[in-house]
This record gives sequence, C-alpha cells and structure tokens, in this order.
Amino acid sequence: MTQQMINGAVLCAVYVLFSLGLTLSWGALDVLNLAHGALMMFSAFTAYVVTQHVDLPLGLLFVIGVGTAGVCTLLLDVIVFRHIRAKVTDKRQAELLTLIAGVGAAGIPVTLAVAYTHDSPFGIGHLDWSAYRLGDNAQISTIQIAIILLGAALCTALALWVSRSRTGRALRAVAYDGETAELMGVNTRALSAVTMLIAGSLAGLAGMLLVIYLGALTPGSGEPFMLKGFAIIILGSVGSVWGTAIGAVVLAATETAVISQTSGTWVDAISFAIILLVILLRPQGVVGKGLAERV
Amino acid sequence: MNSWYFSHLTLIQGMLISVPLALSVQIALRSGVFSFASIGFYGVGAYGTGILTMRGWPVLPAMLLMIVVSGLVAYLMSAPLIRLRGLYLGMVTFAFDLILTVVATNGGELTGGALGLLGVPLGIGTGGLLAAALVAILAVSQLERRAVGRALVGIKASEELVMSVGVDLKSRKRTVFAISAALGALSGSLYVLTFSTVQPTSAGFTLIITTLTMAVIGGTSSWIGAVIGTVIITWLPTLAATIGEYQHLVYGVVLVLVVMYAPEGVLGALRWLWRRLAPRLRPARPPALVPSGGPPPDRGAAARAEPVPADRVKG
Repeated sequence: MTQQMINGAVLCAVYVLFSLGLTLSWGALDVLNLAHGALMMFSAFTAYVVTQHVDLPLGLLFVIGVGTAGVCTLLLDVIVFRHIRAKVTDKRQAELLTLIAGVGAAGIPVTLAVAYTHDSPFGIGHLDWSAYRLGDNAQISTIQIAIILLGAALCTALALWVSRSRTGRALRAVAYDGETAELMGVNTRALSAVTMLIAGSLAGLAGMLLVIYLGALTPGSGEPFMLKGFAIIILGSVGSVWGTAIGAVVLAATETAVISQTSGTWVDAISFAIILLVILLRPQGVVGKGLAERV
Repeated sequence: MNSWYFSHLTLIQGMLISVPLALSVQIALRSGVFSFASIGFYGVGAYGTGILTMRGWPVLPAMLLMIVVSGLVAYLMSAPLIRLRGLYLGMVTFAFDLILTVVATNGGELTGGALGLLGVPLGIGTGGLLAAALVAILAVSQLERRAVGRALVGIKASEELVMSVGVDLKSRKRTVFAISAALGALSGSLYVLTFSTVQPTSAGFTLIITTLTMAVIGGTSSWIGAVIGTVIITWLPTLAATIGEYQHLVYGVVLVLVVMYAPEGVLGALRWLWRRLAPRLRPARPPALVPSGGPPPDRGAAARAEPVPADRVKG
C-alpha cells in the first residue's frame, strides 16, 4: 500500500509537470498544442542521441533535453501557430487549425525517433539511485523523491507566478481578452513566446524525469501522455494551475489503484473515460466557475 | 497494365477502402462537426463484420447490419455530443475511439485480445471494393447537392444565420454524425473482408491522423477533396522509395503547410487557380454587358468568399 502511494505520487508529479505546460498555452493563448506529448518524448530522445556520442554529466543532459523541447515548442508557436492566429479571425476555426497543425507537427519528432531507434525503447542511463526503506515492504529512491519535490515546487512556483507576478497578471489579462490586454500595453508577442517556452520546457522536464525513472521510453510514449494530459486539464479546468494539480492527483490515484487491482490492460481507458464524462457532464472542470463557453 | 495492376493491388485495395473513411471525416468537417467518431465506427465495422462472418454469416447482411447499427448508435450518441464546441467534440470523439481500442484489447475470445481477429473469411473482391467506394461517393455527392447539403455549408459559415432562416440545425448535425459513422463502419467492414484481419490498434491514433490528413489535404469543402486526398496519401509513399521510412514525417510537414497556407486543401488551390484562369479562357463577352471601367466582376469569387458576421470579427 505504501509502495503504491509512492508510485502514485511519482506518477502524479510527472503528470503535473506535463499538464501544466499544456494548460498554460491553452488557457492563455487558446493553443491546444497536440505536439506537446511528442516533444516530451523528443527531449528524452535528444538526450539519448547526445549520450550516444559524448559522455556528459546528467545536469548538462537535462539542460539539453529541456531546452530542446522548450525551443521546439517556441519555434512551433512562432512559425506555425502565430501564423494561424494572425490569418484566421474566427476563433473556433483558428483553434481547429491549430489542433490539426499540432497533430501534423507531432508526426515529425516521432518519425525521427522511430527512424533513429528503429522503433525500439531508448534510455539515457543513470539508473543507479540509492533507495531508502520505508516500513516492511516499501522503498523510495532518491530519483523518486526528486521527482515528487520538483513537481510540487514547480507547480507552486507557477501558481505564484500566474497569480502574483506582473507578467502573470498580464498573462491572465491576455487569457481573458487578448485585444484589450494589448491596448493596455501588454506585449502579447513576447508574452506568448515566454509562455510557449515555459510550456515546452515543462514537457521536456517531464520527459527527462520519466526516461530516468522508467529507464527507457519509446518513440510512441508521448501519445498516451497527450490524452492523459488533456484529461487532467479539462478535469481541473483549463488554465488553472491548482486545478491541474487536482486533476493529476485524481488520474494518478485512479490509475495506480486500477493497476494494483487488475491486470493493467484497462488503465488507458481511465483517462479516456474522464475526458468523456467531464466534457459531457461538467465541461468547466472541477474548479471552474460559471458557464464555460465550451458548448 | 495488367502486371502493374497486380503488383499494386494492395495499394489499390487500400485506396478504395480509404475512400469511404476519408469521406466520413470530410462530410463531418464540411458541416462544422469536428468529429473523429467515424474512426471508432471503422473499428466497430471491422470487428463486427469480422466476428459475424467468422460465425458463418453471409458477407452482405453482416456488412449491412454493422453499417445500420453504427449509424443508429451514432445517431443516439450524437444528442449530447453535437452541442459541444468544435475542439471539445474533437477530443471527446478522440477519446471515444481510443476507449474502443481498449475495449477491443480486453474483449477476450470475442475480439481476440491484443492480437485481434485472425482468419476472417475473405469476402470481397476489388470489384466489390470499387462498387462500395462509388456508392459512398454517390451518396455523399448527392447529399452535398441537395438542400440538406447546402444548409450544411451554411452551418460552417455561420450557425446563427442558418438557424435564422429556419433550418433545424440540431437534426441536420445529428444526421451528418450518423452518416459519417455509417461510412466509417462501411470502410472498416471492407478492410476486414479484404485483409481478413484486424487489430485493436487498426482503428487507433495512426488511423485518425492518416484519415484527417487525407480529408484536410484534399480539402473538406466537397467529396472531391476527400477523394483527391485519399489518392495523394495512398500513392505518395510509392513516388519516392526514400519516403518509406519518413512517410509520417512527410505527412506531418504537408499537414502543417496545408493548414498554414491552403486551409481549403488541394481542392481550394485548384478552385483558386480556376478562378484566375477561367476568365482568360472564356471567349470575350460583348462590351455592352461589361460595366464601364474595369474588367467584368468575378461573381464566382465574390459569392464564394466567406462572409464574416459582425459578431465573429472580434475573437
């Protein structure tokens, strides 16, 4: 039981990091970036390719992996999403085109990884972490502790940034009404660039932590994360940092419980079921107030 | 010709099977229903027809049953779905498709688990596939031509406007949803009867992307676009052997470029070309009909330009 709670907490922290990036860009910029999952995988993949050629310390690998995902997301926004936002005035149409472009863009890193690894798992080593015993039949390793702490710390930092800082306030203004915010002197271009960079870096961090924790990822690892991330952010209300944390806890807890009770083949259905139920019954999510303009 | 036909038979069959599926996505997108549900019904059709024919059902009744059942189920399902905004409908139907793949994986002996169905009796020839594809094209093109179809174009331009002239939007959208599902089930049935096997992943993420690419690249404004897209996506990998491994990278890049520079797809680009070239090809009109000063107004372009309702200008 203790062991399962630890596993659940680690899963939850990775989910939080991954989903925060997704909810940030969607909440503020109306960009549901469907390449987010693929770029998470791509960060670990880039680090893997680097380790094939040079021997670098883990810290540097993290910088490379996280940076790759951040910069790729930024480029995707600057080259593609911004173009769509500028060209298409109808908000709904722009959202759909963004979604389709994201699906297309996701194919690029996945194909590269498949071609390089011949569609087999890849890892970056660093698997020997000291573990501490907790009670009779549970243990926690340093990497697990690090993941849980990082998830909690970054979630808190992001919540404070959005709610307290000047930039965070500008971000909320843009989310509420981009045009008016721009008239009030908010530099929306710079702000969207920063947001996408942070969003992508969070995906990259999730990918790096995951590849070290699990030992290996596959080129297709990003795909299920994309839908889990989506389930988490709509459960927790789009754009809400704390809502995302709640969504991640719910999904991680349910999944861990199902894995421990069944053979595990039903696990993926949980996030899909959450998506169906939440969108149909409470589209504004658990912390959302009032009527969402989703229907 | 004959040897070419036999060496490319699998591609030809695949193309004919994809036509109804691409149409199923195109007809939905054309009506402003951003739904991937037909991919799920493709799985339902493939598994259903496979299971029935393996238990001795004749081919045609099994197919028809799955198509009708899919259409009916989709019609019932659509009631809560069609009130969702585009993006949310897209993701819900995405989730619906993937839940079905999990169900198929856990279906035990009935669905064959992760391995899927193996050894479904072959029940259709290339002629049959061609006939089915033509029937699907005929049905969709007729739907587009009639008042129903014209009202559906309006849905995409402005739902408020369409409702204001007395069109029952909800029932129209539900009909589209059901037809789209039936087309998906048809395509799935054709697949299993041709290749005699289906796996849970057959109707998964990859198929969603491939089909979406077909519909979007071709252009969603007409059935012609879906057919063009199907032809392109089927034959693109054979044009250059090097594409093989990087097939999905090419799809991805093409999809992004199309969304950025030609949201109306190949069909939209062709229409644009036609509008530019047509006036030059036509014989000159008598000058009396031309308003003084300037070339004849391009009425086609003006009529096709999508009106932007005042309330939509601001995001």
